[in-house]
Amino acid sequence: MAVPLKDIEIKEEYPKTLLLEKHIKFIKQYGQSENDFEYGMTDYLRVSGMYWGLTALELVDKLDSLPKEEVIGFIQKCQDPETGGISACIDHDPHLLHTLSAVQILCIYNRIDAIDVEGVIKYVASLQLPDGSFTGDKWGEVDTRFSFCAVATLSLLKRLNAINVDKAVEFVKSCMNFDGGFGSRPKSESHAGLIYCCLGFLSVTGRLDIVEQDTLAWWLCERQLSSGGLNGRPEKLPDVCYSWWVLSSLSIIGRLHWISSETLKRFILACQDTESGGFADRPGDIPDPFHTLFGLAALSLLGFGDIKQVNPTYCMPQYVIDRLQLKPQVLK
Amino acid sequence: MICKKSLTMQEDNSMFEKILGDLEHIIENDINSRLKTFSVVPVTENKNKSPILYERQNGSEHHLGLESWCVKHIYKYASTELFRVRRLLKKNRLSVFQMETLNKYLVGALLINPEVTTFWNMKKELIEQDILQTGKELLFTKLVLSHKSKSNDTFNHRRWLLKRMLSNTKPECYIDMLPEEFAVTEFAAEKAENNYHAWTHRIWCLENFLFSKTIDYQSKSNVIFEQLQFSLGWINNHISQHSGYHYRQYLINCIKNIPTMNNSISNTSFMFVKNLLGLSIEDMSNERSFINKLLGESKDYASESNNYSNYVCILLYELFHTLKTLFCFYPKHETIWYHRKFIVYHLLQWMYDCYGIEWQPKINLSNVCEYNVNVVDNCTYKNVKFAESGEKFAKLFKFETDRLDSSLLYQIIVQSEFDIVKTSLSSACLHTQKLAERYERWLKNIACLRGS
Repeated sequence: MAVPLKDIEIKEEYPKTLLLEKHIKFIKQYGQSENDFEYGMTDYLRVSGMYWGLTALELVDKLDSLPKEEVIGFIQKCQDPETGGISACIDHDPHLLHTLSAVQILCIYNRIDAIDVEGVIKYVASLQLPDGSFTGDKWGEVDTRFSFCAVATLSLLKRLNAINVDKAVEFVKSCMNFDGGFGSRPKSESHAGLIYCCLGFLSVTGRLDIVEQDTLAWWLCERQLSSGGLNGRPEKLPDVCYSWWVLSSLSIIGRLHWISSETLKRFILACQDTESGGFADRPGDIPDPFHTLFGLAALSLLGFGDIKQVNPTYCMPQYVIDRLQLKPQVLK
Repeated sequence: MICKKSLTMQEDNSMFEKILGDLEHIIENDINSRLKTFSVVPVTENKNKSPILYERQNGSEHHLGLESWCVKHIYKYASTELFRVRRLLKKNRLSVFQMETLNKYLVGALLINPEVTTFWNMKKELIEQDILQTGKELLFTKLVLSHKSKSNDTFNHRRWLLKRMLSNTKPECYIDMLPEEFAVTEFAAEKAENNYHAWTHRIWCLENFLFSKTIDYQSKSNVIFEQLQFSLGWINNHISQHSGYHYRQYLINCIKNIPTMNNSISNTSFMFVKNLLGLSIEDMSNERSFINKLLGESKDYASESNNYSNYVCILLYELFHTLKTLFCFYPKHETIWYHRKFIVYHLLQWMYDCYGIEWQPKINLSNVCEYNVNVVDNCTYKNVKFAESGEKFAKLFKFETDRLDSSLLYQIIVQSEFDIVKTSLSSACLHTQKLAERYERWLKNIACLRGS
């Protein structure tokens, strides 16, 4: 049977158990090659990279293996004293993506006092446009990702009231498509990563009532392929990061049980690198901290005992969200 | 081994300066903008000659290459130089001369690594200072996209440049900016499968350049119908790329807002629908008689239905002609089933709107179980919206849905959709069968199609 199906085959030799120790080693070593060329090439996403690695370690209760004070000191240096925004790396320009990552890291460390919080609030509020949308920085590019970053950051700082939430909701709603999904802007194609951002946004702002719950859940479920893995759009290959985005989305709208968790677990476990540790996008590819966090977080949502409970809205340990007394909305 | 000869640091630096200067010079001075592509060429050894490859043949496109052995060094050198002055540039503390020297570092660094937002921002500041020109910068982003076709930051920068150009362009001339953007996005979409950024950029351009108030309906409709033609060709060559279908769906939605029908595609679809439904020219002579034929005689269809015959004809043509052809050749492709959902959904949506009935999916959990689920909690699903509506509404609803169900349009949709399911279920290909099963469940649960 010649089938043009875009999927992978789970081979017998792929790992079937969680290689926890190897992942810990993988993350710890990842940031320690500062002279490496690849490291210099990825400066532009450093702070987000730190969030991925650090959250992954905390989910397996090994956060103390990273130099906490160094991390906090680095973030302090990334805050722009003028705008209040935080950049990916020292000397880079501030951006909303990294501002959220930095705030997430500091919340996990319970050290939000380390930065100028009022500065961050001022920065986020300055990026809202009259139509309710958010730009990623002062240069004006609009994306629903930034709507999520804005409300996630402000809610972690307990200052959601610093922006016009109703307008912000109106904009996100205008990005909804007939299939129940969301894109990066009004009329853009539905995309699982952006659906997560929009649902995360609506969960934080308590406005999941605008979601077409079952229509969207239907579309999300159809992302699961025979291999068990999930893709982000029709006829694309499965990828571990979509395991997280689709799964957390389903979890937020109360439809996690609509997919087969057993086959998804099998797929995620197969994406582990048995030699170096870490998760790759697909079995046999090169692992990285990004896919490692999302692999572990997805396994946590699937109820893996060795991993701490993760919050589907914030992609942070649940106990941190509880400590902050935040109650992001979820649907039944 | 990289950099075989152990040069002193100073010699190294002057070599990097030379390479970066040469790259900038070539890009700045390429005649008639024939320079189409940039790429990193896998040459791992420094053979003591310039690592820049510049291919020019008379009358053909020009290509620029950089040997891979030097990429790491060039990037490191250029980015160090840029970060040395980052703060000074931002605070406007550089002389014009100093600012003019920066572009070569930006060109080198961004060709190699266009994901660095800060470098693009520096370019923006240089443009605001009139050190760099918008036109040349547009060409540069195009060159970068030839190398990294999925670079979101490059598309962002391009949009920033275009917005700047809009402020110096008469609104009626916005439309002239479209052909170049169509070319850039087609090129980028061709190079990288399902290139989300390329397709959203294309839609952004139509939204901003075409749908301004000063552009007349005929011009708008010409562009949209031209694009529909283009998208059909694209889909036929890229059958499994959902982004291409999404673009087509976007175009079809645009037709709702364009009442004029004067062009070949709309005439074709008009005649096609006339024959398909066995209507007379008289039936199709005006909006009201056309709707009455499709939905049944009535005096009071919701006003939203006005001027939609063009849109409905296109949807029907898509379902009974375009999709029919695609299904003959590619029934194993999920993308085509998804396109079918779009068309059927929008036809039904239009009908429900005309009737003024709210349309809600009714999920029956037992169907969902069959579909994918293996852990199901035993909650009984009920449609809250229906339950709350009260008995009076329920009766009215029943009467209206009965009328809708017996309309000509509804009947032909029910027949065609359950037919395609039936045919595909008897296919020899298991994958096609699976897609057909999924579609059937979608029809029943999400589209709530009744009958057969």
